[in-house]
Amino acid sequence: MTDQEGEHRPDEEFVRLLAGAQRRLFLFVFALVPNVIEAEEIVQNTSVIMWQKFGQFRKGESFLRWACGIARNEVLKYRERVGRREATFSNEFIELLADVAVPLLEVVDERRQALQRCLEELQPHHRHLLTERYQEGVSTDELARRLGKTADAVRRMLHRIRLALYDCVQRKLASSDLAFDAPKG
Amino acid sequence: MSSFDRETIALLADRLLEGFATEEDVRALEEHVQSSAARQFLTEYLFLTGELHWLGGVCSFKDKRGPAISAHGLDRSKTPQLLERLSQPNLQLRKIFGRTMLALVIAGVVCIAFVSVWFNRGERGQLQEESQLPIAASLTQSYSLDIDGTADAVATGRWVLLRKGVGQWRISSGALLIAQAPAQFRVDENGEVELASGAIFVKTDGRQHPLRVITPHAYCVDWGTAFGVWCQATHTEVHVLEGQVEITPRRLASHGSQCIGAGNAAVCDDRGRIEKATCRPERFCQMVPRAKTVAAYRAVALSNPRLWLYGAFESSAYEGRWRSALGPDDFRPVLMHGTMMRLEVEHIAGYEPESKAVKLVRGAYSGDTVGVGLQTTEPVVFPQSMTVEMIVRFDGWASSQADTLGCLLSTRQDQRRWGVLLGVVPINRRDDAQNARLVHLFDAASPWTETQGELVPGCWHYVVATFERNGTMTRVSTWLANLSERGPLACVMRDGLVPGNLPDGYLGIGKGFDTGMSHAYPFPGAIDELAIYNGVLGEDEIRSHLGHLTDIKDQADVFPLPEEP
Repeated sequence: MTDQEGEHRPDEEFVRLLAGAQRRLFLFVFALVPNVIEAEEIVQNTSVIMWQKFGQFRKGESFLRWACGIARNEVLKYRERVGRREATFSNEFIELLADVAVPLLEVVDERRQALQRCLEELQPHHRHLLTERYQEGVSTDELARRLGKTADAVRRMLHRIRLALYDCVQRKLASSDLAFDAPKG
Repeated sequence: MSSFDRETIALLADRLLEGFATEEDVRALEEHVQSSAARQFLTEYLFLTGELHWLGGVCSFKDKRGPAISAHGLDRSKTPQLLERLSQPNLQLRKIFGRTMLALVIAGVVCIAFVSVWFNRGERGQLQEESQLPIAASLTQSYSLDIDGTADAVATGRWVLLRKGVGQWRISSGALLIAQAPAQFRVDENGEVELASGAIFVKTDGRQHPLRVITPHAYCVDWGTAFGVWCQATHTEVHVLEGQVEITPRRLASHGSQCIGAGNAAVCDDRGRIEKATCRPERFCQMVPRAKTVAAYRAVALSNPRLWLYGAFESSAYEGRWRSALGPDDFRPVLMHGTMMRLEVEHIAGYEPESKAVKLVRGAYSGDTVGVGLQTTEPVVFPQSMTVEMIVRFDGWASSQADTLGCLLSTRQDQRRWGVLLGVVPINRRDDAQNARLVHLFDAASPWTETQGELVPGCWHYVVATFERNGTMTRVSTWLANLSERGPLACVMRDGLVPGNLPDGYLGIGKGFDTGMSHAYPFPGAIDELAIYNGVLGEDEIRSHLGHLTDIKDQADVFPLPEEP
């Protein structure tokens, strides 16, 4: 891409595209490396590589798919770099998940809208629990202490809430004909 | 993908998300996520959790990305609008957050105000949620059912924990499921059954194929009409009565699936291996028992968490490990010392025609006692305190020697340490009656400890004895009821102290051991059922067990304690 080819300068164009894709890029990486801190680090590294290689990006190509391709490599590189500190997906499994994740990212906005509506429908105490866990970043152990429950009980509750949210999202997508067919194979 | 698979995947993913997944958890997750549907579910579930993190503001990309990009070549001064544009989504997010937070704060205040109500209503709320779930199975019959949860209508995906008794459910697909305590299962929206532990029997009419039963070890797909699945800690047994069942190990590194036909059985272990086994349909309760029957008694006994050994003797293989904690292998028939002729343990009708029993043979040949009994193939270690329940028929003595002994249950370690848990000796009376007296012995150097209990020839009896170590003695209480004559349950010895303690060794059923440890002292009669419990059962519990077997008459007088030796 050159200055003459677009209305924006490359850096502006890059940031514009990245800003539009950053959330989906994070979700993609998070699906492959389900750890927030690691996922953030990989997304940052990916952003740098993308900027360095932005000249290779061809106009008309899907920026998100191009970004995901780089992110996938960064995930594998990151795993090599940090070693197997804790249990993580195998490289083969990451490749499989990546193949599924990329097309699903196309409808992630609809899922997000549905999720927001579902969050509003949650019972207040369940929403409060999610707020503490995900907004305030309170650990499950600390939540358990605050609620006077065991950590296992809190994890089970969070598990049930997440599954309920998932079901709610599916219902909303189905009712609004936004359901996405899984890629075959 | 069933809801079971979905929940398993979500649970494993949660462990990963919470950061305490083991390598085994991750491998299990990878094994579960084989189909495209499962991969899609996992990805969407992780997306959802990622969105929650994102929406929750944990990912503060603005602060982190700015310096990172700048440090690698992006000059902020050249792109004054970059970060502004870059932060626009976050600004929008923050607006949403602001509104969401406001709502959350209000909700939080309401939540705090009603927090105590929430805790108190937790159980009710759960029930309300449960009542909203579709019904996956409906209870059609039951016997003495003690269940955790709602028995009549099982909600989709809800676990059913049977603590006692037998229940029969009609699954939404039309199939019948009979579960016998202790067992835990659930049914999903497609009529698939997940069995976590215990035994179930499934009957279909052939129109609901394929019906799938999932255990921790295997997928069992019904291509027939009747089969039993018994899920234990390390393996799953599948016994097919009609049609075919396809067994597929859940471990991927297995050798694939196998089809088991009618009259056959297979065991699938936790390593994914499938091996053929002897089909034992008697292990499964194929119908809900009628009250006051051996089947009803058996269902209750098998539900008892203290059960240590159960012998139903419904087949001619004399297996004695059925749902028991006994370690050694099965029982085998053994011939008494000096028995030259070929004798077999007969398989006969039991206390009821529907129940089977083993007939043990005792006879005299050229002045020697001959006979056949059963014995474990390996020595056993007995519980410190225990209760023995037996349903037996005494057939009279083959000879009238004064020192005749018949052992119902015995063990022996050496010449001195001998354990006749339950034995019978002739009653030397002038009327020449053939009755037998119940006796106990734990020290070969001491005389029998006789009870006041008498077995009448030709009658079925319910015999119970409790044993509790008391220093160098054993405290024994014994109960007896004549089932054939509908007699009352009588305590024929209460808290009697018998010299010696029960030694560990081979367990003989319907036989004993002589001083040379050879098979001896066969019991002249038949045994329908045998139950050994780890611990001393109370009289109420014993009476309750008998109540499942037959109508109980008023309690008989307690016989006086025999004189201590």
